[in-house]
Amino acid sequence: MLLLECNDLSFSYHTHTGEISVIKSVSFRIHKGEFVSIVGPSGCGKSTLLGLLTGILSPEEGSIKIHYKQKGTQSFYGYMLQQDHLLEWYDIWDNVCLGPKINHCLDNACKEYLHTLLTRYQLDTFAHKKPSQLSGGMRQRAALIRTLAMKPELLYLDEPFSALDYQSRLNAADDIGKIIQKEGKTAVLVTHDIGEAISLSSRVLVLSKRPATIVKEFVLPFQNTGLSSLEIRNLPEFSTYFNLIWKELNTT
Amino acid sequence: MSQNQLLFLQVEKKRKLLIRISRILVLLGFLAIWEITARCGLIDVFFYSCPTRIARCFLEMTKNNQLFMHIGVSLYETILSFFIIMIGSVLVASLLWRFQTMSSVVEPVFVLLNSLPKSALAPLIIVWLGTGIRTIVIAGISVAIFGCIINLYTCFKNTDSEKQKLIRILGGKKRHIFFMVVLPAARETILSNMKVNIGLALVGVMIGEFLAARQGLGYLIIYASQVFKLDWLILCILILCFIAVCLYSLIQMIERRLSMRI
Repeated sequence: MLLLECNDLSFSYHTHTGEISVIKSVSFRIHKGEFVSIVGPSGCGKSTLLGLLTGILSPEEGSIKIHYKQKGTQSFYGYMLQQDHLLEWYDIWDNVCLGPKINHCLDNACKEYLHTLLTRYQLDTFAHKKPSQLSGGMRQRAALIRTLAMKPELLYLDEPFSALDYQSRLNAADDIGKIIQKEGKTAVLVTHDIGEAISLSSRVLVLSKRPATIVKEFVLPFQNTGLSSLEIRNLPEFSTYFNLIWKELNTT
Repeated sequence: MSQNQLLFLQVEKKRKLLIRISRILVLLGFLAIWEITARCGLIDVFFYSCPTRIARCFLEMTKNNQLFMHIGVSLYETILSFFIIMIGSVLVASLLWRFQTMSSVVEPVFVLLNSLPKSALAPLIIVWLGTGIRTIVIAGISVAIFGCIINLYTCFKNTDSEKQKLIRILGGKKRHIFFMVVLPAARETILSNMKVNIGLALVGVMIGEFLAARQGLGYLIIYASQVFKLDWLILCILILCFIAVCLYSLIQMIERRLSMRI
């Protein structure tokens, strides 16, 4: 089922010293249940692209169409930033309630849903702890639950693991991947880490250097094989795809 | 607990005790030297007074409650100024944060007012408002408020933009950003400004009282100097020291309470 369609998106930043074209005629479609990764060299405009998709920025040209919105979703998309950005002055419970509280929809059903999520992902005993008392991986899970609280149809992940060390990064990516699959969400991950993209997603879009445009698309066979992202990393096909994408990134 | 840990704690305890005793000894030594030199005639008691004269003076002045009335007035003015400074500057700084273009327009005015020596304004305020508590409280406020507004506004402006973005993504308006991110993130700056401003409010109140009061410690100091009652004068200064320390400690206590909760 088609969820979202982008046509010919373009965007430039304007500063006093001039104009920088960041995104140039980017088009793609996202279907329900997909996990799409967008990879590109550092600084190519990946975050800008997410800014356009979430409506924080508005495209100068092109359009974004939302084709399907289920009833009961409070907001169409959820967004995970590069860092967890849990607010230090609230405990974990208040942090995950942030979205519903802002939108005045923190009713009993919502509270129950959040309790279930916290319990399911082993954070229930930490509900009344401050974020600083949690490990990096736990903080990421809490941030994801905060995003899920609004029952979004589509999740945007902006290098959500980039602040973690390598080991917690692998674990957190695995965790988050599992959670997204289990909750049946569609996700768009933006990253410069090819391995992360392959191990998590069903499709990878490769962006060029600035101004970014999609140069290649890879459809991966790993999703729905029941393998965890850590297991996928050990498959021989993993390195095949890794090399293909690596080559593509370096030739653009 | 291990032997070494116990030893460490003992040494620390001893060190702390030593520091405390030394401090008391320094104070007593200072008072003793003052008293002895005054009695031997090395310093002139008329100008420099001495601890026993000050103590006697203190007792006399407490008999008719006159001293406490002056202390009360100064304290009242200082605390009132302090509260107005803090509430006022949080309010103004949040307005400046909310309306950024407006704040760019008025920023030079605040910088100007902040760098102006506020004691120069006091005579003007007296002419406008006459003598009395109102004038003195305004003098107290004027000393600290502009600096505080600038500090808080700078702090508000530098709040982590990613955290603000997070609230926007979750559907929050400016109001949510302010109360959920900007204000809580500024709590340490607000507390440190409180510590500075309680002292500045006292300075402002003294300036006001020097010029336009019939009551208060500042008035008493000026009066005493004019009639050469230097015992009074030095007593007032000592009381001011005590008040300043007490007010500062009070804020520090509040700070500790809050940081324990956060």
